[in-house]
Amino acid sequence: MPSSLSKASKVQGVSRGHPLPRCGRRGNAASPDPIPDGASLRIASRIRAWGELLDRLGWCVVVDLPDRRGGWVGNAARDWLSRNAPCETVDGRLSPQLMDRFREMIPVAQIRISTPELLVWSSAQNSPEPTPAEDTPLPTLSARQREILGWTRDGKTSGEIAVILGRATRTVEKHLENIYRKLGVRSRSSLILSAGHAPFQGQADA
Amino acid sequence: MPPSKVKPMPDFREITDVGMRGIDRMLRGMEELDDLHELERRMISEAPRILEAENLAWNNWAPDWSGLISGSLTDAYMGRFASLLGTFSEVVGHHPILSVGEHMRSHTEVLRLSDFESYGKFRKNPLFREVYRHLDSHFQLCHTPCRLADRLILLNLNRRSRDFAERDRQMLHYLGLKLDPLVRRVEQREHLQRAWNGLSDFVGSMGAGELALLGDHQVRILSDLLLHPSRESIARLRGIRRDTLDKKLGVIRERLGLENHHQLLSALSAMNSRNHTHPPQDPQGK
Repeated sequence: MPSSLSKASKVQGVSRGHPLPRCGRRGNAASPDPIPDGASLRIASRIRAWGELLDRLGWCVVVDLPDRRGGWVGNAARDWLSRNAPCETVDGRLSPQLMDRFREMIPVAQIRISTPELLVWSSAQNSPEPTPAEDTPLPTLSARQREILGWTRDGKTSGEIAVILGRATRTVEKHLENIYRKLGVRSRSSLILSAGHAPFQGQADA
Repeated sequence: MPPSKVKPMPDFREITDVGMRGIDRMLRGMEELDDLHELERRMISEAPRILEAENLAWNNWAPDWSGLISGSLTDAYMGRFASLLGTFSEVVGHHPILSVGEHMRSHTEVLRLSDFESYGKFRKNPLFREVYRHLDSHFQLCHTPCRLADRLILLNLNRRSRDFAERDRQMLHYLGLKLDPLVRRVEQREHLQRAWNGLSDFVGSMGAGELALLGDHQVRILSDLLLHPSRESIARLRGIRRDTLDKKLGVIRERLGLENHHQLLSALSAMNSRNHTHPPQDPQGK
């Protein structure tokens, strides 16, 4: 060991009135992650809010965030993982290695966004030819009902649809009641959220 | 009595408060940076003045020390070093610290080249003859203060006329200890910004780019709309009046250019994963 270094390591340094930087247990290079500052926390909160929204829209979202929990995994992603990779656990910190393992497991065609920090994929299976979902009841709607559904999801009221179609408002409401019954919903909001943009055959031009 | 496992505090006895404050002031000026490249550039231009060296090299090494990813030098050295880069990679193995495998020690302490090989002996080293001689760099200090996810940051100080003293070693160590949290905070910001850019691009790819303008509280209200179609139940859940919720939803609609609540629900429904089972054919496609 060089003399100057060995000598230096024996001396405990204190500089009066000046805060000394802290050393980690294994030296400064291995010290714990710094606490994110306000700007970082704001972005992290925004990412998390968007992650939750996309999760509720059925997207599988995994995002590595520098917070205490070490990242966020949406419920849809957890369900997907429990179905497709039951042995993988995501309770700990989302390490780059774990993110890489997810990328290996998820079919490439289903991945929408893949960055070192973020993974968004669709839980729905892709097929070469687009086909309407098997459980969608939309093809059972009549042409007029599909037309009214199209105007409804554009935010038109029953009165406005009646004017557009040249029918009475009560007629449009009756059509809507039939649509509710066929699709098993109880309100216009539920109708738009559950079937608003689902693909179906023979959609009327609206 | 069992030996203490507590690591001794580093020694800064040779540094004055003025020296420490100089480093603190310099780093405070870099606290708001969002980009590691910019931090690297600022350090290269400002630190040599405080550390009294002709050159500061900021080298980004692979996390396992397997190779140099990139690096920056003080402008005057950069011009001369560019033509020596090929030669440098051939003879870097002769570096007195690397050749004896002691570079790992630079994580926790500042290493002085002359402690490993005397100046007289170093003059006969191929690294000196092929590279350092042309850079007019005879003395060196090195320290690896930061370990990031994708790199190690190794700082080298170079001088041409006099060797580094204990004070210089302590100054570089102090700088390293202060630089580490700063660098990792900038890395955090980069990391978060990349994640956010990815998310907003994804939302944009579904034809709902304007939704990315919403704040996190507004996005949480939209999330609640998906779970609870009744606005009364959302207001109850959030502990606010129904009127207040309607006002917040009105602000969201206004920001998105939507006329009524059903159009807002329709915009949300358009983003449902069921409607996007196939990747968009073109980048701007819905």
